[in-house]
Amino acid sequence: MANLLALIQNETLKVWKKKRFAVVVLILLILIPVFVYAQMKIAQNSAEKFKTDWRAELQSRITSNTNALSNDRIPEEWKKWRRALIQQLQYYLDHDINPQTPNAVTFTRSFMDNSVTLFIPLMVLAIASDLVSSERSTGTIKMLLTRPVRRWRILFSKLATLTLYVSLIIVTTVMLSYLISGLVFGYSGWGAPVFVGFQVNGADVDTSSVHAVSQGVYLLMQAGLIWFSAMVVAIIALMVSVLVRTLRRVS
Amino acid sequence: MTTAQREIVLSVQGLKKKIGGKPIIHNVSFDVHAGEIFGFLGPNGSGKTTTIRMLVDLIKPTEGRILLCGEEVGLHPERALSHVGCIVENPEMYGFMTGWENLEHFARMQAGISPDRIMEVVKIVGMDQRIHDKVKTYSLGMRQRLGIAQALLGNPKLLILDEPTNGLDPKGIKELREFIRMLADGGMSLFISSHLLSEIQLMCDRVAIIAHGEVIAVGDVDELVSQVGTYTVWELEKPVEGRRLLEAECGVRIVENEEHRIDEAIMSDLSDAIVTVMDADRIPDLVGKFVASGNGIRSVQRVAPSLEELFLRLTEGETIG
Repeated sequence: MANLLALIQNETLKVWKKKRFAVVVLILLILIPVFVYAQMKIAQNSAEKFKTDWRAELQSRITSNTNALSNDRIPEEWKKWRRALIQQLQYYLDHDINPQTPNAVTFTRSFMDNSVTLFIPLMVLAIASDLVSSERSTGTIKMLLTRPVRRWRILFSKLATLTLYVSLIIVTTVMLSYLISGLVFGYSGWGAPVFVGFQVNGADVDTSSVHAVSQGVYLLMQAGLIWFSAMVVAIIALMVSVLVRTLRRVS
Repeated sequence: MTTAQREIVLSVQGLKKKIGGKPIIHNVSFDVHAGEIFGFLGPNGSGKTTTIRMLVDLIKPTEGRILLCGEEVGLHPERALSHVGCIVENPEMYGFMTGWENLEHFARMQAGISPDRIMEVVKIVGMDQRIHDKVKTYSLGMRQRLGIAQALLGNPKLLILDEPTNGLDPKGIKELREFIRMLADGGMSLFISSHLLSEIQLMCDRVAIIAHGEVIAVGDVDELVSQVGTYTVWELEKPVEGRRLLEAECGVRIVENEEHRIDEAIMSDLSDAIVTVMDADRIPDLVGKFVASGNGIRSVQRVAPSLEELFLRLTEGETIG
């Protein structure tokens, strides 16, 4: 009896040989430079418009927020948020970073933000929908099912392969957008703080648990969530492509 | 019977299949012995492919048992199927991979197939020249061979081929026939379905004939043919006088051209010949009489009826409804 690893190797090889993943990479290699160029133009424009001293501006924001902290009339949870803000502004000053100029990490962050809704699900669908239905349409499924291997093992190996490729798509998207945008914006920005922990309670924003995390950690958490949502899309697509053919066979 | 003592590789017992409440297969039973070429003959739509699909566990039978080398397909499909190589309908391989990659792919699905074994089957089917080309560039004949190579990978005891000659040219068919005979001589059993009677007659040792989802006869191809009886065909210099002489003899029955069912290919060379049914022992006696009456004999031959004749006799009275 064949082991599962050999079956997963088979499925992975088939997707690879069909050049499905190569197409995903190709699309990324076209898309990312376009967005990098647009981002660069925006940054140049705003730099021309606001030719102020950003260090002085940061310093004045820090001072006004520090003053607000000593005000008794401001509630405690608001102060918490202000403390985190001061911490962030101080970080910019200390590390000599203009918060208005983009870097590779912020670009990657916003690129991932925008691709989670359409681009990544689309790429995942391109692979997931093909896994079972192409075997059906070419008739190779008969060859698979007449081998001495249980059917759930074949289906499981396809699911494992899908998980592998979903992860690979997300890692590749992050890596490519970091590497390509870094050429223009520089490869720094991993340690820059980002606010997290806002909670919406009805109409109010609860800021009591707001804290800053570094951009690197933020990106990791973001990628994790994207992976999760992409897996949901992938599994639904796989399920539909199995069911559709089963129904057609029954009818 | 020597065949009955041999090991039974495939045993089908009381197989039934209903699809959507409609019975497609009624009670199909037969045995395939080790080292024989077993033909599965029936017209299109008679249930050949449905039966084969049940043999290899693509669909489940409604009733009945299938034993492959003693393992029941319904209970232990993976153990049973490890004894079998098969091609159901067309040999479908992955066109975007090379022949070799395809074989590697299927070798991984079964334990204990080494690269040496892959090389061996490639040599058996004679594909060493093109094995590293993409399958989409292969001709149908080469795909067929690659399909057989794939089926042979696991050293099966039984090879199931569904309409293997479909789409092959006469040369390809002849090569396939020789190839199948070679495999059978090596001790493998082969199960071959076809709707072509002449093909089964040329290829197979035993045959099961199926019509409307029922097996109507199982037996040695030669025995089944002899049941129908053999014709004696006379080709004479003076056919009209010869016919009169034959009519006068008792124990000789003349068969009119429309009634006998000898292959048209054979009869096209014998346009004026007289077809009779008679005892072979009487031929020398009759030859003497023809010579005495001054009628020259061009040829006398015993012609076996085609399997088509047999088939029509067995299904006599049945109409397609």
